Order: sequence, then structure tokens, then C-alpha cells
Amino acid sequence: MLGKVSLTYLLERDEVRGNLLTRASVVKRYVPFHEGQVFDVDDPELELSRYRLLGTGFFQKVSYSLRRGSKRGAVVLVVDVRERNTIVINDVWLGLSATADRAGEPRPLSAYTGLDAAETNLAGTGVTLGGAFAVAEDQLALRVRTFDPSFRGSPWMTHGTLLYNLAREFYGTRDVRYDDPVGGASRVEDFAVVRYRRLGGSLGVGRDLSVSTQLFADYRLERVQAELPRAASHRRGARVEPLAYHLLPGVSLLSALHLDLTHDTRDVPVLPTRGWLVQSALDVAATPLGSSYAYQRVQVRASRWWQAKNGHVLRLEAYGGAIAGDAPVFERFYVADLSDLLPDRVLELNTDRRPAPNFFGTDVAEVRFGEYAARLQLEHRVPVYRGVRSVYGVDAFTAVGVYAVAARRDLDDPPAGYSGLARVPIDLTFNLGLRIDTKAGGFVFALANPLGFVPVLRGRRLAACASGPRPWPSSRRRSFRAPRAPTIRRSSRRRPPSSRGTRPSCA
Amino acid sequence: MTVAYRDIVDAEIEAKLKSGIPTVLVLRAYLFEEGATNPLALTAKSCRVVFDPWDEVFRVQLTQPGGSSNVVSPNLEGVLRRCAEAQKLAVIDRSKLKLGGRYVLSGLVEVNPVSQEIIERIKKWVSRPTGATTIGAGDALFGSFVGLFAARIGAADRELKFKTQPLVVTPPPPPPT
Repeated sequence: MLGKVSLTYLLERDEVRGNLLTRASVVKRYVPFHEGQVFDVDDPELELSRYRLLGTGFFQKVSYSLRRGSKRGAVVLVVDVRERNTIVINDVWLGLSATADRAGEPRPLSAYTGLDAAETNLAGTGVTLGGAFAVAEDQLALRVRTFDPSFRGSPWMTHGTLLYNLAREFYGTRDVRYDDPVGGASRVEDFAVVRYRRLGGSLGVGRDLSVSTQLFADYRLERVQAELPRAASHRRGARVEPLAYHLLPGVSLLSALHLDLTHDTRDVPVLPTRGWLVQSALDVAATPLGSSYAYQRVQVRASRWWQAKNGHVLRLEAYGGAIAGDAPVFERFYVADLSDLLPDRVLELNTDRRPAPNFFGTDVAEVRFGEYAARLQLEHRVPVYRGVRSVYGVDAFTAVGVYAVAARRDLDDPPAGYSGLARVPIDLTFNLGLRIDTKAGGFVFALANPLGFVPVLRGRRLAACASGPRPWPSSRRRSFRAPRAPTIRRSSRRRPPSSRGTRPSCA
Repeated sequence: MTVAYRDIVDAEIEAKLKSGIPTVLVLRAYLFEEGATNPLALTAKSCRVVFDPWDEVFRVQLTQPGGSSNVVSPNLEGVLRRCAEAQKLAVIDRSKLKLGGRYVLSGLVEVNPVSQEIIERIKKWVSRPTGATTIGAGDALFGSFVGLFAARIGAADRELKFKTQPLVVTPPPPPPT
């Protein structure tokens, strides 16, 4: 058998053509052949580097060619590129939620929206500059971020983010009473609303540990300003208890270190058919770092995809997390992030006041935020359409899973009125819809969010409150009072006198 | 089988052939019994072309049933003659065909077919996360534009498919007397 026709040359230099915006140095970062090297036309790195350049997203087309150098045996490696639009949309949020208006009155339905977009090749430097916003009822979130995939040509990635959130959180699940200094009277709702502002940012570095593994480390600093009610109570199980806000009144600081390790062996990112995606994250906030909140948070998420012979795809996903210490409310595990029937937090804005659906009738109905969370979910995808132009693929999916979320207290001192397995705060979650892979990226159209508004799908709550003690006993009121806390209740709207201070219904 | 598939070489492929970087043209032809899904036979021809910018010649490595050969072509026409045509390429022994049977020949020509291993490495790199620093348990309601630039990695730079009309096997002509 004859040997392969092999040609080697002395590489005189690299030359980049067609780059109107992108700097040649940015292109050369991805070309592993340099002046003075022996260049083998069969080096497999040649084809791989072409795909790496395509993978940056800066170019529509990349091709290599050789031309004669200045002396015999020397060649110039010419990299021809055709640039493309590098403004991308990373995320679009559009959904419905049950929230409350500015006066804190429940609203059955309101919309939230948001957009995350970025220029991924800012001034041809290869640096990403992005921004995002989210708007919900009386809430606003803004982000500005940069990402450099190769800091000064090194293998290190750097990134930074600026953050502003004018946010609200909903506390308690029923019979919530909190003071209303504007009206001088207490009010009874199924939730209490707390407003707070966050302003800060993060800086970080990252590195590829292998072709499929990345490590990032960030430092994050935020100023948090919260306006807490003077006092509030809610009914937890059959007992009335004070509400914990997990925010410090007035101005506080969050100073934290964050580590993120990602291992990704999926065959494609949008409609994967095999491989793993494993993400783990560690957050550490400590007083020596200047943080008003001291806590540690660990999260791990692992997903695995399999393809059956008939083309159907299965995904099994396991997620778990734990928090030790006193994490602020926006860092805690939130029930809506685990249940598909409630809207996820958007840019860390909580858009929905509803508690967990509670299909199993457990004390998960009493939990909004937790220090422990876990979810196991199985997804089944059926290919519906495959194309080669604008839409590459459409898959119908159904997913079902169980999740658990609990605060430490829910484990040490479960809500009164629950017994047996009902003291395990787990719930069912499910989703169905379409996953679509297009030239513009991947989309998910899911039905779980609107299904969450169907009353029959709302689960059970403990029916013991009618016989329980009256909420917010006057003997406790003084002990709840914070030293300084302007109220968040600014509206002069009042409930009818008959509803003030009376025993609320369990409905 | 005798077939020409020169139209696989358009202006873009011609530029690749002259680029100095190896270009591979592969022909695969499958023989099916009409209506069947499993092929009875496969034949293939592969041509690897490298233009030498200093000697200004095309160095061609040809592999087909019967063996491999290295040749030098001074111009593109010679490359096309060797690599974009197949002359009397053996597909199957005639004795293995049923008399009166109907058969279809289906061909696929590819330029630079990418090996499965390379595809795996490319996909892993292209689909790797960039700057992912947060994880959460839930998906966004309407999803995210994940991997916007995950290039659609095809199996080859260019493909050409062809299929013949059904061929009926007739008795061989009697030997001349």
C-alpha cells in the first residue's frame, strides 16, 4: 500500500484576510501555527482550529490556504474569514404570574418580560458586552456584563457584571399579618411583600480545564437596601409564627466568592441526544470579606441524555443544593425555581406570589424559601420535525419530576398539623411543550406556566387554621418590632373594616 | 460502473483544491434490489488532492478497488479526470445478481467528509459553555437561546447524491462463435 502524500513546509507567517471589524490578533488566537514552525498540511489541528474560529460566532465562513513564502519551502498560511452579525439575543422572558400591585393587593394575573442581548465581538476585540433587563409588577432588574474569552491573548477568560435590582419578595403562605403604619392598622393577606434594592457587581476569571470542562471563580460585592415591616406573622401549619425576612433592615453588604465548575459532553447544545452536563457551584460569603451575611451555598446539577433506537430522547436530571449560614433571601432556594408550574425567578426577580402547588398534600405548602433543595426530573422528547434551513429541529417534550425544598427549621421543627409523610416537603412538577432548534438559537415553548393557573391543579393546604390560634397575637407584637424599619405599605387603600384583624378564612 | 460527477467541483471546491490544504473527494455507490432497504454491495473511490505551491502541481492519492496509486497532475483538468469520474468501477460480481432481477445503484459523493472522531471533537468544542457562572434548577419559561453559534456541523463540505433507474439483469450475450 502506498503512503499518504505528505507535504511539510516552513511556516513564514500567518495572514488574516477579510476581517473588517475583527482584529487579526483575535483571529490568530485560535490558529495554533506560528512563524518559524514546520507546517504539516495533514495536521488535524488545522481543521479543528477552523471550527474553533467558526465556534466563536464572529464569522460566517473560515477557510485556509497556502501561498509561496519568500524562499523555497516556506509558505504563508492565509486565513480567509467572512464576518457575521455578532449582536445576539441570549434570553427572552415572557410569562404570566400571580402577583400583587403597588399597594400590596393580590392581582390574579400580571405579565412579566425581559431580554438579554449582547455584542459578542465588541469593536472587533472578541470581547462580549451584554445587557439584560426584566420588568415585572413594580419590579425592575438591570444587568451589564463583559466577557473576554482570552484575556490579553492568554488562555484565561475574564468577566464582569454590574447589577441593579428593584425587587420584591413575598413571604408567608396564609393568614399573614403585618403592620401598616400608613393606615395605623394591621392587614391580613396570604402573603407579605417586602421591597429591597440591590446594587453591585462581580469580577471573575475562568479557564478551560479541558475541551469540555471549565472553571470560573468570581468575587461579588453588593449593597442591599431593604425596607422591612415592623412586625409580621403568618400561620405556619396550625401555629402562628413570626415571619423571617432573611434580609437585614436598612443598608447591608453582600461580599462573596463564587466557584463554578462545568463539564459538558453534550453532542449539541440545543437538542442534545447524548452526553452529560454537570454543573457545580460554591458560594462563600463571610464577615471577614466585609459581608453582612455569612453563609456557604453548594449546588450540583447533573443531566444525562440518551437516544433510543426509535429516535426518542430521554433526559434524566438531578439537582441538589444546600446552604449553611444566614443567606439573604435572593440566594435561598425558591420553590418556583423547582416547580415548572410557577414562573422561575427572572434576573433574580421573584415574579409570583403563589406557594407550591402541593399535589401530595405535604408541608411543602408552607415553604417558599429553603436552605435545602433537590429535584429529580425525567424528560422524554419526540422528534417532530427535522430541517436544514431556518429551523433545524422541533421536538415535543414531556417532563415529570419530584422536588423537595425545606428550611432547616422545616426539618428540625416541622409545621404543626402535619404528620407522617406529610411532613416531608416534596411536590410533583411536570411540564410539556416544544423545544425548537433554529438558526437563531434554541427556544422552549412550555405549557406548565399557564397550566399552573388552572385551579384544579392547585394543590391542598392544611385545613386546620380555622381552629388554630388567632394570627399575630398582641402579646408577640412588640417582640417582632425592628429598631428602625419604614414600612413598605405606602398605599392609602384600605380593606373594609370588617376584614381588619379578623380571623381569616382558610380558603 | 462508469460515472462522472464533475459538478461536485464548483468554484468554492475548486478554490479548496488549489488552496494547498488537502482536499478529499469520496464516491460511495450502493447497489440495492429494487424496493429493498439494505444494500447488496458497496463500492468506493477516494481521491486526496494536495496542491504544492512551490512545484505548482497537484499531488493526488487515488484509492479504489484494486489498490492505491500516487500521481501528479500539472493542472486541474487532470485532477477532475482522476477524481471526479469513475471508469468501470467494479460494484458486484455479476454471478451474484438474479436473472431478471431489478436493481438500483445509489451514489453519494462527498468533499472533505469529516471523520466521526473529528466531528465529536468539534461538537464538544463548539457546544462548550462560555462564561456560564450560575446554575439553577429551573428552565426559563420560554427558554433561552442556547448555543446561538453552535455551527451546524455537516458531514462534508459538499455532497452530491444520485440514483439510477432500475436496471434489469439480462442473460449475458452468447460468446462469439
